[in-house]
Amino acid sequence: MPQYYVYKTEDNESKTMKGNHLGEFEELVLLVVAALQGNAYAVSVKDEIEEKANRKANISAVHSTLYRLEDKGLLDSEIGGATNTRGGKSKRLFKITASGIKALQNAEELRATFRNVIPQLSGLK
Amino acid sequence: MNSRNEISPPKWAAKFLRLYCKKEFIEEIEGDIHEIFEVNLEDKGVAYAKRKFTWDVFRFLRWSNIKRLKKVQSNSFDMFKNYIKIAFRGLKRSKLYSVINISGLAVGMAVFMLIFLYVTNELSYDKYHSKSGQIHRIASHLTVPGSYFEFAIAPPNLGDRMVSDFPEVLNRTRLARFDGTLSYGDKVFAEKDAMYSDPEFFEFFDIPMLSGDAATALSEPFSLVLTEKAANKYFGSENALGKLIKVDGIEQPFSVRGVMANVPQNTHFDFNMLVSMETRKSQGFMSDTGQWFFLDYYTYLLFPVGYNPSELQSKMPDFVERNIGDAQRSANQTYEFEFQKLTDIHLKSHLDVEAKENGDIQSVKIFSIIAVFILVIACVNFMNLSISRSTRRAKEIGLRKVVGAVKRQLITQFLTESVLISFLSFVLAFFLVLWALPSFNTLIGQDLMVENLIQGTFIAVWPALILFIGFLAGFYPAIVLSGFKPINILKSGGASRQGGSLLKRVLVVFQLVISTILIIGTLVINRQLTSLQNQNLGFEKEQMLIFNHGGDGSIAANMETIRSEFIRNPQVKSISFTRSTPAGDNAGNWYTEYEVADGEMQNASMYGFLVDHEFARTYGLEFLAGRDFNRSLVTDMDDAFVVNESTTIKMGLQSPEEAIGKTFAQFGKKGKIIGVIKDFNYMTLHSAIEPLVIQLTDPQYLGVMSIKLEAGADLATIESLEEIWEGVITAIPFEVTFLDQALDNRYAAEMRTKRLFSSFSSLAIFIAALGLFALSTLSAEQQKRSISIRKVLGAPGQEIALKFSMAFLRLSVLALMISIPIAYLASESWLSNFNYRIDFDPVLFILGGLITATITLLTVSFQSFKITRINPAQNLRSE
Repeated sequence: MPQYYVYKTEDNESKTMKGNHLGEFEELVLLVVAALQGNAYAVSVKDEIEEKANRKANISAVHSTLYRLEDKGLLDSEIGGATNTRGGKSKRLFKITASGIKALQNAEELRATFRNVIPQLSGLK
Repeated sequence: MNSRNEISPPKWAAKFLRLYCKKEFIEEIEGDIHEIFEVNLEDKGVAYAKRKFTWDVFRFLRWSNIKRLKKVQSNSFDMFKNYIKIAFRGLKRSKLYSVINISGLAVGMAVFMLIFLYVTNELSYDKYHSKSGQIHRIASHLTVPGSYFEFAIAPPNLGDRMVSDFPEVLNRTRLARFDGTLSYGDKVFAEKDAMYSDPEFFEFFDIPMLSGDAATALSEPFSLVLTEKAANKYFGSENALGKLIKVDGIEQPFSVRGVMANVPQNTHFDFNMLVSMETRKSQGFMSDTGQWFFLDYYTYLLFPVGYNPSELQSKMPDFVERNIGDAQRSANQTYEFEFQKLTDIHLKSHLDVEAKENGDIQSVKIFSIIAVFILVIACVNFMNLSISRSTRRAKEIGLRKVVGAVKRQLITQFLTESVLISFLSFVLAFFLVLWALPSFNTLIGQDLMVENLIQGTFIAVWPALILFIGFLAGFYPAIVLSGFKPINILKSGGASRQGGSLLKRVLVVFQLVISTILIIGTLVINRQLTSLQNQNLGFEKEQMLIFNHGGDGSIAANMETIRSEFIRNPQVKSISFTRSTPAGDNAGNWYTEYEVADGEMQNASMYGFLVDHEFARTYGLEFLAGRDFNRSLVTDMDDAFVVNESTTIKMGLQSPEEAIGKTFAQFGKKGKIIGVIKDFNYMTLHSAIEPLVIQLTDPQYLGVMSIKLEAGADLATIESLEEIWEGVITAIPFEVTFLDQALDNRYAAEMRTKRLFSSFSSLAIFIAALGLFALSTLSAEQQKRSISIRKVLGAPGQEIALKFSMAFLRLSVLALMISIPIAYLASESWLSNFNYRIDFDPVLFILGGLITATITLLTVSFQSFKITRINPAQNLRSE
């Protein structure tokens, strides 16, 4: 059986990984961070997702998503104060950047363009 | 009670996180999962929170979080990357073999790790004391006419005398059992795990004082030092220091002078409190007078660093003569004393009256061997599969060689592959251990923790094990494969010869031998223990409740009230108060005199039961001659003895009837034998039945109550008895056990061996079967062409299948022949520990062989069935 190997170069790899496209979970996390207004860190984001979206989120998944969004420049972060409830460890607080807001708007607009041409959905609006 | 704040997440998990995680993430990640841990602790409980914490640690094990090694630019590093990549592709391509290889090896490693935990714990006993090398315990060997005993305890002032006589004995400390009912306020506990102790205890043993002064806490009478656990039990969160505890029957209250750490489980004694030895003296025990035949004290001696007490051993006969000589002659008993190394006590000492149930060097050895066996079986699978598959990789090797690979590089490549598989198996094995440890703990009745696997020096064992197994399993294939000649391979389009088929068969036989031995071993152990449990003990053990209340003034005074109240319950058949029961080890062993044939008295030491009038009736003992004790004959209390049949034989009498009316004396009582009972087993079945003397005694000595119930009795019966009891005796809780359970508990060690043995041997055969399955699959595949040709030429399907299976069956028959003598010797040596043992039964051995052969056939038959259905057209089409 013939096998084909496709070799990725550094170049196209970085493009696919750090493009401006927002994944479904990324978008949700971005929205939650924006909504939490300065009190967003991994645990609070996770709790919020579990509560509002009513779905299970793993802390490590939330964590790596936050960092991916920061790498894309959509989030900004700083070290917050330590509390007793965390075994004395400090937390990293995230807030949304201007390009983060932009990305959310883009995603919204993209949806709107499709919605407008779907009769069942545009009718509801 | 632990408060919420004290519960922390599993330490090893946190350590692991710090080990792999990038520095810049640690703070935050640790904080996050800690926070989740605390929330879970509130909502879902400790166990869930801990589990979740561990799970989270592993979920964070992502590429982006893992520490990076410094980048090294070198060709050999790149080659390794390539080897690993190729190895993973190989694993993916042949999923069946990968799964069998890795899971088999993982199960083998997991068993090895579990047994490693058990063995290292057994070997760690008492090694944590900083002076452990200098401490020895004195064991007393006592010879009395006709008997010989080895006790773990010594006379009261032996230690003191040795300190004053020998400069090389630096110090001594003693422990002695303390029984009593203790109360603080409305809390009442019957303490059975308490010890009297000398103040020097804390200089000998590294059990730290948490509060109070170790030097003085035990120097005055009526002082107590509690362990942390006991302090919590009595005082909860209150400060225990200075509190007063009341002991039933003693006027003066005891004051708590200190709290010490709990006794670590790997210690040969256990207690939850120490009572000052001075207390015992003030209670009238003559602890420092010339009481040489009162054995009650575990006595420990401290020697100088590097001193070998065998030098002292040679001076002991003189010492004994000087101090005890006269006493020995007048009592007609002789002592010898032996020094036991503290660190040897747990595994090597099996004396009478040990401080705690000791382990056994034999089981440590047996299970170490089993661990290695199972690991070897798994390695053999690995080797066999690699050898069998070697032909498939011939092309790759040929090509690599043509392009310029030298032999050494190819060897490195194959070893890298096998080490990688070994590593993957180890990771899986670690999870298996996590999962199986709680049940393993229940199985062996201990409390091992997974943390012990990665603490201290053991952390180095695991990488070594991974490398060792990787090399062991990969060595042979690496040599064979790297030796292929490229020209041959590439010319013929594949190596046709089968590599190492003799070695392969030898290894299979080896696996089957081990499995068969383990199976036969399991059958022998099962048969022996079943026969022990079903042995007619000579007394009634069913429907018998045992209540060990410890004896107490209030009970002695109310004995007849309790009896008449209890007996009123229609479910109660009869009740007997005794000092010991046939299930306990507390039969006394006393100086005894008996009349021999010519009317003279002779002395001996015999076991004695102190009982009441109902004893023989309650236990259904059978009288061979004479009569039972009779309530209406008042003199029975003062001068009547009932003996067992063995006693009459010891007395040199021809029949039980002759014993009646013979003069007899024991335990300060002199009188006549009034009855002879049939022998019953009052010790474990490890030993033969010894002479036994039964006499009536004062109620105050009778600390055990036996209640014989009717067949229909149930829990409600026991509850109604408890109500009656509490109406009469308030200080002592009504805690009963069933006699048959207590009897089974005496074989706890053997039952553990049995359970462990059967679980491990089933695992061994499972791993071996896995390997056989993979091997037969491979071999069927390799023989496809030859089988197809046979079919074309007209061979019937069954004949081909038979020939295919026979190849494997022959191996299992050979294995059976090798394993029977080994299994025979091993089981004989194990059975020799029992007085009541099953005879050699060839059926067990044949059965064991049949099981292995059947499993072999079943495993292989799947493939042999498949090859009968081969379509020759498909396989020969391309020829």
